[in-house]
Amino acid sequence: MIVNRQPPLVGIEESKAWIWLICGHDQRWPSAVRRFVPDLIPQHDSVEVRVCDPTDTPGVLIKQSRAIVLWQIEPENLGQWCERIAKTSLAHPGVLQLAATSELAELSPLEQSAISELGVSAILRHIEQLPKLANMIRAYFVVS
Amino acid sequence: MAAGTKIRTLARLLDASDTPLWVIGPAGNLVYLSAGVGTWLGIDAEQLLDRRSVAGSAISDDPLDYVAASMSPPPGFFGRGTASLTIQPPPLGGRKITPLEVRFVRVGQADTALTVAVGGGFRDVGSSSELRDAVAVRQRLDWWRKRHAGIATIATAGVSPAARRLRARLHVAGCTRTHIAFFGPEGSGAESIASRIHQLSAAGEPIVTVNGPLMDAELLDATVVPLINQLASSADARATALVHDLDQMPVEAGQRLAELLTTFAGRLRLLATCGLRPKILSEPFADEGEEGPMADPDAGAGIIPALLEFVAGFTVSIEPLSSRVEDIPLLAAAMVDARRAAGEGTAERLSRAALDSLVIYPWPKNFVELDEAIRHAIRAAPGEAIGVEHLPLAVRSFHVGEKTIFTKTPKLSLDEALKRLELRMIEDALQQTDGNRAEAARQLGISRARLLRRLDENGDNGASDSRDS
Repeated sequence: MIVNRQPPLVGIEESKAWIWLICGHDQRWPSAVRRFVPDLIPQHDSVEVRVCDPTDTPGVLIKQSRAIVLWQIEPENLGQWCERIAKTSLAHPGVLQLAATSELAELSPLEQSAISELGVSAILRHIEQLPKLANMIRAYFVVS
Repeated sequence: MAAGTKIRTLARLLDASDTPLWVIGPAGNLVYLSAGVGTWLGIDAEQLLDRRSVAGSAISDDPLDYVAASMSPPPGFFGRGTASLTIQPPPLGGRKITPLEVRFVRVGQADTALTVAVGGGFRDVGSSSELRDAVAVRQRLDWWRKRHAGIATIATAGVSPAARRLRARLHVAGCTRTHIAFFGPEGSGAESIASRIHQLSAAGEPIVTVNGPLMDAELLDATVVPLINQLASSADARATALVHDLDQMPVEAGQRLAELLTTFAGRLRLLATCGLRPKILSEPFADEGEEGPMADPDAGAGIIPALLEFVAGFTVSIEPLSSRVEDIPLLAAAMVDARRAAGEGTAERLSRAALDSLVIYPWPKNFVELDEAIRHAIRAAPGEAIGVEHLPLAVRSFHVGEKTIFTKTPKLSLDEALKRLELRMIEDALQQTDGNRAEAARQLGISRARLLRRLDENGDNGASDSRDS
């Protein structure tokens, strides 16, 4: 029998398309994700980057068992963000959640551990940290 | 004009104290160092007097200049008037110096301001997140300067695996006099790194720079003739040829270079810079007639096998800047320090928004382009921080667009795509027929021999199939 199937041929065969949701109002992280996403995904997979309001996230995720959600957290409303993260973890356990802070905001170690407990896999502060997640994100796509 | 009291009593008290204290004058030079500084550094403090104490200003190789530069205040200091920093001077005479927590205080305003630095434990409160980041970058830069002062070309700064690999290779290269090839994209700074390695590994040895693409055999001879004369006149003489763009060197010049390296084996050293993935030419050249690379100007450049044995022994790869994104803030800060120390501007740090723009930009011309951008920005920035508006237009106006679907697909030729599609259909047919090749061939409308040939080409015909009928 033949093993080691080749990757799909674009335009001829089907390839997987994933969703990367960026929830927040800042333009900093959408630009960064669009810039680095080609280096973060496995070959032959496609990713659709969508920016949405945090309140719309549950609706967008309804038909997605696997997706990446990047929350642009504002420390002043941390409680609301924690609630959204917790709800997403419960309703969509297969979704990979990332948290990012705005340009100059900083989360305390206690706040960071709180949102990690709720299901966030990585907390980012600067956009140059995004390429460092390449292995984790590729592994997530491959396993999915 | 009112006069202050005499300074003598204070000077006596300071000399009696073992607390390190120093004063930096308005011009950035050390104007006073207490006895405690000498005790801390293990040298006569007098030796540091009048040396420049500006971050990144140690342009000479004198270790004391590096020490003086490391004693400068952190970014943001002149705006706030006070700051704390852990000072980490580089080793002196092989002896490590204990890092010291220092509080800096500005005395006076603008051009006449003095900086007083006092060692001891202090706690800064209320500084902004951006300034704390700038201080953290400065700490990392100081650590890099301390640990890698010998190879401190700016391209080696960084925390990425690529930066660490580069530093490790250069440390070895600096200790070894051997042929070395530097592989890097355009603008990687390979030339300056190669020159630095030559100074470290064979200081004082004569060197000739050869521009590879412009050479032919005769011109190469004319260029290296001073070296050849020295090597021919003495059996002990040694020399180095630094060849830029070796992979762009015409074949006949490459062959001549290989002859010279063979003739003066062990004495004539080759330092070569090449592209990231240089073209390797295959032999023979002379017998290929009009079909060979000698006749084809497009195929006439590359590394010939005779040179491969020289350049493959020790290689240093310099990754493109786009694959070292996490190093960009550190590299940019090091360049700002160097430019500021050279008196090109007053800015001492980059704002977070400016750093974001630098990180997003893809840097097709690598370190050289980044250095040019910083040079432009520091000249345009009037204050202590470089903002987005001070960056070159190409950098600050770069946008990734509103594209939403991203697909990572390697370039694939039509033949390769058709071959793979054919194989995929054969696989599917075999699965449907439970591995019966004859039936699969019938379903696909091809001969069984053709199906077997395709499987053979893919290396999948190892297992025999009993149902092959």
